[in-house]
Amino acid sequence: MGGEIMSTLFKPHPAVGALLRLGWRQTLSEKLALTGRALTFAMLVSIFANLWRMTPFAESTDGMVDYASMVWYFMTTEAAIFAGGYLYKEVQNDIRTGQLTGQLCRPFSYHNLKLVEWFGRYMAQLAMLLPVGIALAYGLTGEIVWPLRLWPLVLLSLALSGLIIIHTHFVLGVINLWTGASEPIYIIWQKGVFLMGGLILPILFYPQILQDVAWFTPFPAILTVPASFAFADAGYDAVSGLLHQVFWVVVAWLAAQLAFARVLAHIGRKGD
Amino acid sequence: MLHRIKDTWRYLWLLGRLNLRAAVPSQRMFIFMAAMMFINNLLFFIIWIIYFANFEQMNGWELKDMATLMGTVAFGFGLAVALFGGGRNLSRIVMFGELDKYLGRPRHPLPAVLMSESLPSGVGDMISAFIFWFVLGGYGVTDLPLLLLNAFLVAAIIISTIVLVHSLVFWARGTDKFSDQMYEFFLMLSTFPQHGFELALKVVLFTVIPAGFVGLLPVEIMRDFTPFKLGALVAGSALYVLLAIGVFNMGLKKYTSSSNMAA
Repeated sequence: MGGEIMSTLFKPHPAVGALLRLGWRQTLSEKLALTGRALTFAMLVSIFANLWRMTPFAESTDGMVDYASMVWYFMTTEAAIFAGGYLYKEVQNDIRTGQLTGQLCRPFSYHNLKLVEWFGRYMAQLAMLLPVGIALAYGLTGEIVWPLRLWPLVLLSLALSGLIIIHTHFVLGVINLWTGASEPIYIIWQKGVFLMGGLILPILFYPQILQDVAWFTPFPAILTVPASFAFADAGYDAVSGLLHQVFWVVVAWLAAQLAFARVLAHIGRKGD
Repeated sequence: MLHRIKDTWRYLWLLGRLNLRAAVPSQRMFIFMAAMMFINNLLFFIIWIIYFANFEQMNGWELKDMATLMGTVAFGFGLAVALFGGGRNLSRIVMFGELDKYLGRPRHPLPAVLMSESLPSGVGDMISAFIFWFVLGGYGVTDLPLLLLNAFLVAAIIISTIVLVHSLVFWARGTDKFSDQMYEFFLMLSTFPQHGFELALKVVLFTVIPAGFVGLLPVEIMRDFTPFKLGALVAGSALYVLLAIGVFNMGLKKYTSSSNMAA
């Protein structure tokens, strides 16, 4: 019995690899859109680098945060946000057009299909954006603030962010079944990520009460944790950050499973 | 002449009213979507409240200036999507040959395309502007005419930019996503402080990407009013409106002289 569970967990369905590749290739095939996205990303990082140059960070944080670390921090948060995109819209459209019901008869479940494909897409976007961001951040600051030994952990952390993002997007997409539109909920979720995740300013600048509240939400696991590698020199605890992310990956996965189970129940009861 | 103008306004009014009504299946949904956008804008602004609580000012700009910026962009953008939300679909309308159905009508197709969709969330944007201006910016009722004038001019520039970036599809097929991204980029740029940029970048922001007219000039008008600054905003918006109409007309000419692009 135990062996069966272990083999299910560690021997992925053959479709997983194909779907990951599909998501990866689809993203890379949209060259013009990808170029536009990379340009927007680069311009945004440059704009904020300009704003951060005008901000006396070091004075208010006893040197823990400075111009260079802020540029790298912001580049990382933006890379995760840009790589995520608007995935929830696909599920929303599938529900609206009735395609979701049509896809239920496939041997590979609809939600796993979407999640795996989306992860492939997220990683492809990241593979395009991160080199641009790293080159730009280095060009702007003249420094590489991630110590070499931490690079694999930065990438792992960004991948974990992606897992949280895709699972939450799935939940946001299926909400459409009950509310008629996912956008309003998504917008609030997005601002939650921006604010509580520390998209622009690290949450260490927030009032203490807001910092405490933020760490009880999934948002810092999406942005703060991977971006805070920029403060590695100031003693950032990477292991705690990664464990925090793993916890939220599990929660997001459970939420997606539960949401899909509710979708199936809803369709079974009322049709599409 | 007067009759023609009156007739055009009546046409636009009816078109806008019909599309807004079609976009809102129920009053509850309308309020829900508008309320969500309202909350969204205020949530985002908390980041700037935190920033200015830590650093007081950014190269001369204070919280009031950020509130002016956010209020003006929110109102302008809200107005643009509430009444002219169809502009975001312009490239897809052209790509899939749907423009044909607008060409059969007796009037110019651009207003009908722009007003073919209305987003109720835009109303939430517009309402949030008053919170930014009066509560967070500390403006009084006497400032309202100038704030509104700025916002209407900004709306004209936003709509013109949508038309310009989406008109690219007339010359290069499959650019819809690229146009979406360019438009998003323009909007994003417009909502961040631009006053600290170098001269070369500021030139770009008042020419290639008109974000300077949306996110910088209106704030400078409110900070230190001069007729020249207001004149520049009026001239800028008029120029972009004319440019958008001109580019769309050129594209339309190309479209009508060739077969259906989707075929």
